[in-house]
Amino acid sequence: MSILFRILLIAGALLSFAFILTKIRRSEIRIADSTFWFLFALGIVVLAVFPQVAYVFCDILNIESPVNFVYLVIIAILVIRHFMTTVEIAHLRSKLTSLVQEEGLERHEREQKRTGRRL
Amino acid sequence: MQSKILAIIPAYNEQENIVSTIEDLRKNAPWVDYVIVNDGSKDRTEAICRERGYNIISLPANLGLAGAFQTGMKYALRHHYEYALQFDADGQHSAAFIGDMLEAAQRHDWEVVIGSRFAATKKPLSPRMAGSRLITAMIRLTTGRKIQDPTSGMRLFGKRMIPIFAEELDYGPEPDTISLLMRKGVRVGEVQVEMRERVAGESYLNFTKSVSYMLRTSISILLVQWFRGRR
Repeated sequence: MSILFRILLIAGALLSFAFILTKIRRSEIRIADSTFWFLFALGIVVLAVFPQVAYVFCDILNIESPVNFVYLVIIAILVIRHFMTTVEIAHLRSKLTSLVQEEGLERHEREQKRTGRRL
Repeated sequence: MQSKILAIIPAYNEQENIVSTIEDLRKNAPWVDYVIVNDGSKDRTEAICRERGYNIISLPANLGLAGAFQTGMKYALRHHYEYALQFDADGQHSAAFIGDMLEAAQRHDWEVVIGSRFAATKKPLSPRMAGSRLITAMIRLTTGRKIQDPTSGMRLFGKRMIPIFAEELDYGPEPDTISLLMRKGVRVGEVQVEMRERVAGESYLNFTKSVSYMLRTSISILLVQWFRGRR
């Protein structure tokens, strides 16, 4: 890995740190959700500071260039993360759906009681 | 007295059609109860229904057809209906055929009755029907049985089906659900009905939506449902 590439990685990681911290200060994300992004940025810093880690894995996995290993790790982590987000959205959607349905049914019930009418 | 059959009418921006749909029901099937599920319409659908004193559940946010239909199923479950009928608000469906469908359900002991355009008539060889043919073929492949009009939106569901649709996740009023039920041993039959072209307003399906609908349905019927269990 070239020095320039390592500096680029570190710069990217630092920018991410700054970005997450701003978001937390403005209460735009929950602290619990920020953990992942902190660890992610930290991981990139580790890879940039100790490129030996990447070399070792490249040897084991027979990957020609260490940069490719860095890409592989980042892509894999993000794909998994995205999948987890999809699962979370599905949960939220089904909660929202039942809330909206309950609210509609409740209102209807109240109206029927008020007007004392059944269909 | 409460009827034993409830027509569930999901409605999204149907101000042009809702009155004729309900009047058709009242005139041609007065023995059927109905509930309109207003799916967060932005037009005067709700106002019109209130003015006329129709039985309407208004959802505070738009959920889409599946969510609106499920609301109706929950209503049917809570009011102990024996049959629930999926019925379009856009005037395509004709209340005159509800009697035939109910009669067939009782005579053959069917738990799902599809109001079918092609049970007795032949399916036309038009590009519009290509999707329908494909779904029929896929259902035949996975269940061994032939459903001539899987995309018909007019379906009658028996008592045992109501809690399933009301409570289970992802049991939408779509062909893949019908195919899943058939695979689980539910008795599904078809009864010939006539449908009208849309009276007013815009059809839900354009080309892009049709393609994504077909993809979703195909993947669901051919792949996903082999892995689906009940919660």
